[in-house]
Amino acid sequence: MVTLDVPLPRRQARLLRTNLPIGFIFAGGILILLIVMAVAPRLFTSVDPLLTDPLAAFQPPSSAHLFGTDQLGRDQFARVIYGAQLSLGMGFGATLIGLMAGLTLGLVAGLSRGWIDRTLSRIIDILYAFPEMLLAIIAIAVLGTGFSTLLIAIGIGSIPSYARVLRSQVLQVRSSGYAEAAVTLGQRPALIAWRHVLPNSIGPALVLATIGVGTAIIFGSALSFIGLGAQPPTPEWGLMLSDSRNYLTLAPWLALWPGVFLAATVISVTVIGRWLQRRFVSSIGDQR
Amino acid sequence: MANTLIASPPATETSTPAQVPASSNARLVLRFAGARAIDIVLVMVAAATLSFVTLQLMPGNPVDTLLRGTFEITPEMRQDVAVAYGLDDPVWLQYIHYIGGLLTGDLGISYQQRKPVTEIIATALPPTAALTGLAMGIAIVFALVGALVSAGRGRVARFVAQGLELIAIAVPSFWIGLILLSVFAFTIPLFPSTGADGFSSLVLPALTLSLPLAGVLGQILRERLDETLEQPHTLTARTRGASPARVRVRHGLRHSVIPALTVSGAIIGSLLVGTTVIETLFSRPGVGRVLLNAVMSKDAPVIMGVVIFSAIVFLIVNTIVDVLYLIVDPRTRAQSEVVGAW
Repeated sequence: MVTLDVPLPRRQARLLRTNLPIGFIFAGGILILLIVMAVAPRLFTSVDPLLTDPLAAFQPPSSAHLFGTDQLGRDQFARVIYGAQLSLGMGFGATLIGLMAGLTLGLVAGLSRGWIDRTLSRIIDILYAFPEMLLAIIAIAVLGTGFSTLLIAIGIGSIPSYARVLRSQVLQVRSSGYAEAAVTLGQRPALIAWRHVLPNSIGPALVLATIGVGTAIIFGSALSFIGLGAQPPTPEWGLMLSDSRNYLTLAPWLALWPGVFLAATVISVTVIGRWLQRRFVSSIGDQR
Repeated sequence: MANTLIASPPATETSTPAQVPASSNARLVLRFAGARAIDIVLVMVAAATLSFVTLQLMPGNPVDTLLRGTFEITPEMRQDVAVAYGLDDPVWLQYIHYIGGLLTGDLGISYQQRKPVTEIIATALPPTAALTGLAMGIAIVFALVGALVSAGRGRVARFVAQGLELIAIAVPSFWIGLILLSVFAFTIPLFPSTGADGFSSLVLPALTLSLPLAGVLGQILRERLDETLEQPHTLTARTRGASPARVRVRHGLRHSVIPALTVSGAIIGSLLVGTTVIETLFSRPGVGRVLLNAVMSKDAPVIMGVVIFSAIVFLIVNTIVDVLYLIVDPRTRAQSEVVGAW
């Protein structure tokens, strides 16, 4: 064994000097915990989140029911744990939908010249003028309420921003040397778009999407809160908070934990997204 | 862009806002307003078209919506209602009627309330406007104080400010509202929990709504202020003996306000319909609730009305923001020729 008394301080210093700020590590830890919770809720609780027990309604937090029970006697702890699936699924699912559609729109608009680009850009601009929330609510008006339409609705709301960011990137990449070289070599346009343009212009949109996950989670829970999202008896955090509103004097604890978990999820996703943003795209703000 | 309106260099200690002759100013404003008026009509028609097409896809027959709650619906009744609301016309004719009405300020009749949509929105607007206005005011005060106090004061201040901003932005406002409600309406009954009568019922909702806004605005102001305080002109001002407070307010803020204005415009635009959640939480009347009810009862004319209203608000707010740029930053006056000429 080599004695470490001299190199150690230097190595420690290097470890401490890594670019990962403490907030990022903390947020990452919380997010991993939440993901485990979403994938394997049974690790945390063996109680069925939908199991009602009217005789045990409105029990304050105790060792049997860590977070108490709600108006139907359902175990609030189990419901909060199972809620992670829905919120994370909502955040990532809706972002994926919006990203896919936005990327397609932005890629087509950026690569085509003339009226196609003009028309698409105009549509993107007009959609961008509407609040995301309004777009999502209208999508729900057409598609109806429910968890899967909620994903689509939130995704639709976020399409314009992804499409915009991607289009501006594509315009830059298109005039770059390697893209023009590929055109000169006579490669098929679809291949150029897929192999050269998309990989080189997708970065800022992906980073935007990381932050978008947090926004999507807030939107999803807010829409569930006003009754346009997940429907009872789904253990969705926004929906649980909406229910708790009726029992604030009787059972204030019901309004606490879904919110704490919701906030922790969004904060950790946002911290990670912002770190990625600072690290990889410093100019993203200019492109919007 | 040959323009000689501005000869002075960008705002330094000595530069006062460039004095533009009144007549030229008026012409600029007029041209600006003219271009925007055209914009508003175009966007209104575009918004109406998009929402008309979209809402055609809405499931269900409007006649059923109109006759909800009626017992023993006869085919004749259905026919009468369809004729009365023009629903027996072909879709393209309905569309032309709608656009025609829109251009004369008629947004149609609500299926559910049987009242003109303009009237419904007009009734709902004052409480929403009061809520939005107060929330924006609170947010601006929070953001200004936070930024002025924390900018350029070292790592600890920045860390605390960033943390508070993050919490304000990332914690869902309806949960904060729920906590406020639980504490200040139920535990310590200082404010009413529901309704919209008087100022006291406005305090909790406005505070709730203001927090995320304060977070967003505060972040932009603080980051810009940090940058500005490093600039040479700040040093110049200091060497001239300006007090630190004066440097921050007079010299720093002016530069930080521009991006904050942009964001404020977007925020206000989205708030007039985005208050749905807060209005639901505090059981307040308002535009957001009107939209929510319309969606739940499939009241297409009202939904379209709110969409068009939102587009108009967006444009008006952006116009105001553009004008404010001209006031805050003399440099933009050169570019405004371009904007106006569009």
